[in-house]
Amino acid sequence: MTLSVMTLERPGRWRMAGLATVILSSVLPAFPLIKGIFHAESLELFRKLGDFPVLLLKSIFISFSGAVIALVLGLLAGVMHALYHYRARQAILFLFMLPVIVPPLLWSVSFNNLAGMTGLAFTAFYSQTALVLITVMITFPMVVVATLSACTGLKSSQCDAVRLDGGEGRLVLLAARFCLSPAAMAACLGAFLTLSSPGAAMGLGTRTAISEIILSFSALYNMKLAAFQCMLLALSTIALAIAILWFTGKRPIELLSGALKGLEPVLHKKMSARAFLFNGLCCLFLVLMPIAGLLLPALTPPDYGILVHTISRTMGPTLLYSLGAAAIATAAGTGAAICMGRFAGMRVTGLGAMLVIFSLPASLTALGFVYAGSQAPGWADFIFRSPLAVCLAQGLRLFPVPALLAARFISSIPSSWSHAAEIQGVSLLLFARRIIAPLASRTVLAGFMLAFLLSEADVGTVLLLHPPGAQNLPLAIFTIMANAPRSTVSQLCLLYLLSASIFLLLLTRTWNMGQTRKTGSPA
Amino acid sequence: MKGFRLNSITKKYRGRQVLSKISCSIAAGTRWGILGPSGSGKSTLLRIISGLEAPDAGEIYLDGNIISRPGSLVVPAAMRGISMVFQDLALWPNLTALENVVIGMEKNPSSIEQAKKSLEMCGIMEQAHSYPAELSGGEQQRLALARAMARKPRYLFLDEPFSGLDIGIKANIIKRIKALPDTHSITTVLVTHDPFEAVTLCEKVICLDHGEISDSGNLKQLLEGSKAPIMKAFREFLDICSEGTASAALPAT
Repeated sequence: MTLSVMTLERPGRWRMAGLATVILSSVLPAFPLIKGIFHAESLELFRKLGDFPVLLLKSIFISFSGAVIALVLGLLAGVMHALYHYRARQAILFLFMLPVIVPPLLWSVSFNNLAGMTGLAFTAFYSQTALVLITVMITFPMVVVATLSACTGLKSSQCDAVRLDGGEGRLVLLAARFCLSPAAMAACLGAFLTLSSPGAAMGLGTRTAISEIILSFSALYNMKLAAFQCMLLALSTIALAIAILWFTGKRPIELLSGALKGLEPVLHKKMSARAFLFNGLCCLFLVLMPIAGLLLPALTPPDYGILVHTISRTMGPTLLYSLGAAAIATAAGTGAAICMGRFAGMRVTGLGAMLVIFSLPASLTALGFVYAGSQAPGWADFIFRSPLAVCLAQGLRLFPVPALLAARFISSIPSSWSHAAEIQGVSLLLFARRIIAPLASRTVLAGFMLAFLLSEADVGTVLLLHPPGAQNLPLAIFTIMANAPRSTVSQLCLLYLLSASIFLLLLTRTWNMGQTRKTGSPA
Repeated sequence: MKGFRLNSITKKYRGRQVLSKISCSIAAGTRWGILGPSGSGKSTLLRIISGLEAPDAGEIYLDGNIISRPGSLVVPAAMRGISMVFQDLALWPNLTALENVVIGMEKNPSSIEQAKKSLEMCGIMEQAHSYPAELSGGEQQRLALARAMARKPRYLFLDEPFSGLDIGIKANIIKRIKALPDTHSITTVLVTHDPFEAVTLCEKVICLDHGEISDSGNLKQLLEGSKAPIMKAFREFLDICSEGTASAALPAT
């Protein structure tokens, strides 16, 4: 029996079943862990928590302070970028993206260096401020991307109407209002990411909720306490994510996963100059200054021995973990997007659930794997005590990223394509192979590359799950940063930054090529 | 009777009644039109007849044989002898003009010949190896028509295919479509809300209003006396146009 092309357009139980399978698989590793905690003496665990609740509140405060600053800056930068042409526009956007694709740990190295040079180091005020700044750096590009995506929902004629009515200032204001809810959602995601990323806090020597969890596991060897703390953190993020979803409604998800259209930026003498100035300043303080913090100490002659040794021993695992995680994330994400199809209800539910999953601390899944590994029979070691565990934990956490990109691609395909194929007698397989796959390939590749970059930047999961002697480069930097000379650590950080930048450049080109191809559509 | 017979077709979308107990016949060998204002259910009716969707209630017969019944398609769309030109043309951007035509046909040399003949007939053979984005609006329209014609359909459905076209291209395409029933024995069914298109291309029409048939029959007769809202609107519009033409013809004073 030949499958009909209309299967792609019709509802079906397979959609809900497939989506539920992907979503449940991503949280499945955490279930035995949670069950294990409830079997443990909960009262005893409560007593051992100590000042963890205070740290949790402090971490939430730091993350959301950074998110609010990033929201204000990123929303304005994104709107200016979407509306106006200005000098070095593409280069500035590229630089904006750098902080989010490298581990926050690198930026803590940079701020340590800067503080050392300016004599600010080791004050409580400095480390908290630096942590807020790192949150701003990581969240800012996410807000910019969300704003740019939301701006594609604006039409040039709508912008012209506002221009005629109230001038450029009013246009910027209205565009910012239009993009506010998706930008706010992105800011919250950024806050969740930094809330559950241990690298920055540990690099700066600040106690936060997530650094405390890592400490409980790897220094106190108290698995159950770490799991309990992790569960409290996860519950906080779930509560916050649901509150944010409830507050913003389904509009941001609809805007972010909607069809791709093009809002053409215009050249406006005064506004273009302002856009250049504002975005240039954001770039200077949020990207170039932290890069300078890595660059200046790295100018001394390198210790090639340490550099070559560190890179050669970490290159294999770094690539293996990231490639594996990206492959799993892309497969699961694309599958989830196909299941959601173009059904508005499924998309809002599915992407909302994915948003909650993405906001969960990576350490929850990782500890789940550790716990399941400790309970599993020996033959299961190839899953729980191997690089596969790292790939699975990271891939199942990052799948919402390729899923969102694939959902946007599906929205951009007119349903009449399937209708025409059905009438013309084109089989589902042929339609998928000859028409959809060539067009979707770049979107899928972009999702893969983005998942690759994000998994490469994740220190927490690798720290908890890596097999002995198989550290990735960020973890190796984290391990040696206390003992190695500042110049060597900075040089390693710069090498990482350089490789990630090259990868980001490839990603940008891939994405742009995909967009050019799509504009060929007569629809 | 040769052609389609619809028996009490009903369709709902998210609880909203789009079509309500539609019963009518579309006899072969005539140029048909389905007319109605936006949201009257005309495109939905076309999709249900073509087999892209199943009705919620009612049956459809083709040449006396059942082809759709509630919730199921007895005969799939590709087996009904139908081709369609869509409102957005639905050309696949990553395939050349020739590939767009040939992809749904069986893989053999005669299919390619048939596709080339179809492109030739629609006057687009020279662009056979161009991608849709490289074609002008009129050429894209002719490509969509060529793709529909290549499978030698018995019925050609046209779902508002002329929106956004300039008058010269529109006239050219309409001329080609108008000749189809005589030259290729094809029954055309045009969905439109444009009085000009309807008057030019349709002999018989089915008028829809809020998902129900408000009138049907010979277009000329309906234009004279039908009480269907769409026909009233058509009459008023055509009257205004003819007044405009008359005043334009008056000598300047």
